[in-house]
Amino acid sequence: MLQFERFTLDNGLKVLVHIDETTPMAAMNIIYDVGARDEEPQRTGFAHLFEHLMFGGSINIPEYDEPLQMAGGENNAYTTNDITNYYIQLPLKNLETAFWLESDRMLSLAFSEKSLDVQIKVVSEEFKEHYLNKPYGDAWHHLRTLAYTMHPYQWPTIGKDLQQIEEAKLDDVKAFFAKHYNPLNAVMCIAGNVNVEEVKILSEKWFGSIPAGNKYNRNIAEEPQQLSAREKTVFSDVPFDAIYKCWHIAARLTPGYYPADLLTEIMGSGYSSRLYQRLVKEQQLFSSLQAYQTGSLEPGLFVVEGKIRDGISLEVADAAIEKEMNLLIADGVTEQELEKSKNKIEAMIAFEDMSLLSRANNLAFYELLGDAELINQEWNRYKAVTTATMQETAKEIFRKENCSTLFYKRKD
Amino acid sequence: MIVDRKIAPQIHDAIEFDYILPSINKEKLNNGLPFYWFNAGVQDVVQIDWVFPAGLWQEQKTAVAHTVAALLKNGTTKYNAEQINEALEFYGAQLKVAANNDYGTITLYSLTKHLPVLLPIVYEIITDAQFPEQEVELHKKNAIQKLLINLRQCEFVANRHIDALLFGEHHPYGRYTKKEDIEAITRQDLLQFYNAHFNIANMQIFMAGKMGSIEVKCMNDIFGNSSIYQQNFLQRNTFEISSSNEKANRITNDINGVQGAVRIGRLFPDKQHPDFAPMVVLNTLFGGYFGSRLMSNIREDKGYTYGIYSSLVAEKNGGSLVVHTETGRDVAEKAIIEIYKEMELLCNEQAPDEELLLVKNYLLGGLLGDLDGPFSILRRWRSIILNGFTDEHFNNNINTYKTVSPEKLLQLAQKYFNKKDFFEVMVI
Repeated sequence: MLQFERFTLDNGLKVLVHIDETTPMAAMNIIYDVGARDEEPQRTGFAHLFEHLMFGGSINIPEYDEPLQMAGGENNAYTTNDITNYYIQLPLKNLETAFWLESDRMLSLAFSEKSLDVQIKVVSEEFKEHYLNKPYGDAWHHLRTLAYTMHPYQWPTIGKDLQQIEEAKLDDVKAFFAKHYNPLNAVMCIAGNVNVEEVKILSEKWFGSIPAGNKYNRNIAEEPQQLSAREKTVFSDVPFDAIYKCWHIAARLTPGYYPADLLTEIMGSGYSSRLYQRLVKEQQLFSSLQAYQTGSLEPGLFVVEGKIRDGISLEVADAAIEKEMNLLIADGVTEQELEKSKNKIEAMIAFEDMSLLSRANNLAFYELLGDAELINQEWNRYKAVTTATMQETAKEIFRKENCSTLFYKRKD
Repeated sequence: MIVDRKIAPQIHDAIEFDYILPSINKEKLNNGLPFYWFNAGVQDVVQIDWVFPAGLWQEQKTAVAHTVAALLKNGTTKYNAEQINEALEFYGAQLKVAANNDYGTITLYSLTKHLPVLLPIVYEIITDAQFPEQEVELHKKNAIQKLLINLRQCEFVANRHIDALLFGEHHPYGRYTKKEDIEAITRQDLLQFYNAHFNIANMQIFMAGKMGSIEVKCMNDIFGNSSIYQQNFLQRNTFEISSSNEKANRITNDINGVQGAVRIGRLFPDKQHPDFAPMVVLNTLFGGYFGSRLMSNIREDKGYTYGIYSSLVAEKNGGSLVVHTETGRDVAEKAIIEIYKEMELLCNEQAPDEELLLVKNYLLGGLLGDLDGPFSILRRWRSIILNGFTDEHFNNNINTYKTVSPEKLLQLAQKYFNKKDFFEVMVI
């Protein structure tokens, strides 16, 4: 159970306080309610590029990183399809430095041309390093566009292509800041050996005078239900064929999400999982194989991906995965499998909670979803799943027409 | 309330804080095996490491140490691989077996409450691994596929080459695995290595997390009662470092590659050397954190890369200092020039006091966080004990980080940042 208290400033900034008396460190986590899903189709990758620009100096403070490092702190940020998260860990004694830095960049950025020019280059190198210059690196670009025809989940956070990133202008940066970066669109969590009163005082002092701004109202068209199976084949300079299959699953916090998550554990996470044991070890069709889900807030994807063993055809490999999914629909899972998948979740939660930053991040994240208390109900929601729900969920997910398959073939 | 946002809040310099490494219990199990443990943390979790002298240093044949690690839990006399993995994963535990340059390590992450069922399985794996023929054959095929995929990545290829240039291709730290090496491995090789190096007589156990006398007893019951035989034929390998005559290497791995992987490195003494601790400070300033000279220049000013770092790597029998980055193909040579420029600058000018204070505060502030988690404290203790140090060594290092002077860093730079001592690799 994570304990917390919360209050809201007059400008709408939500603040959570998580007290941990055992640590000399403090964590500050701020989530902004904006992710790649909020981008225009012709400006993809912008939320992530913007995250880089948040480190380019703010209205009153020319350098973000230096004062924090001087205070013994460490920080970073990441952008997902759903949100943008900024976090700091530093010695408790210097916590006010974090308030000073974060409040100033919520107030306004420096908006420098130089910073934009450099970060466009840096992000282009990031794009090359992780998506272009790696075998299979662009698979997710293909898979997303196959699975999502309408919804902005059809592009990854890095963006559709390099060109859109290169075209970013300072005016776009200013407009994006004005639209998304304000107290009404943010949640902050402070964790450490603090008391609520002092956090209130510091929050008022540094964040209280920031104008509320406008609440961003998301208006994203839902992805229409997939009515027929989709397939795409790409050829690339890779040493072995690979296959990526995905199925639409339920949104985060909805009842269908929990069994779907447990199903990934049973099917393809770990050496004792079904797909690994049967298709890698017994039938030897794949050299590696995993199942996972995208964990997104709006309906996400259940994914199976594998590298195919040399000499095995894509069709045979694909049919073998389909067969396992059909067996799951027909026979469901055993009590032992269900218990194992729950034990894994239980351990995962305990390991995650070891880190102060992770606790601060999780609390802020669930508050953004509506209520930080929800995090303390998650384990019960997993525990409540039965083998019957697992089978129903499997039937719902693994319908032929709900599936998209990417065949990633070696160019000969 | 109106605040002046241009004025930073007062800070407390991290160099003024006290740093205390929480103590570790140094016990012997009933049979005399060393068992190091401490209780810390709030969550009901533990990490246990079983460490053996079973690294690349000990292998007679390339790739054997890694293969033994990969297959250690794939079958004993009583259980097959599936049964073992099921038994571990059923309890949400993770068991990782890894070989590095000097050691083979088995690590268990688990909820404390499941230890009574998990420890006997680990004991079984350690004392009765069988390396079944069909597991070996399947592993070889899949490992080769994995290797061939990795070889398409410029950073993987660059990492292999820089180590080979520094230590020589016949030295365990410089040797790398080829497809043919994996093909040549036999079950016999694995059994031989396993029998010689996973002998529990040479095992050290490290454990941390939420634990107490019940868990200590549990460990003793399972690992403390088997008799131990010190084998005489445990070989003490020695190797000579023989760096390459070629200093710079340009490799085209992918003619269409859009980036170049750059590695620039030199040999560096191990942790026993008095220069090591002050060099940690200089290396941090040079390329060890986000605000480093390399990052500020090559990423934040020029935008040549997503990241550039310099690492000090200390092995048991030597080490290295290596700068690594992936840059745009057309700016890779420019980035290399800038890297040497930054080294030269450190040799010619003392670092400003303000910058040095920042680096020290950053380094020590991070350490304060590190001393807060049971697993990071365990990692520190493991390194101290395996290097034959005591907590005195930790305290001395802290003192060095707090007090090292700009003059000392200038001397170190002049000693260790000479271009002629560096080897470079660029792989497109």
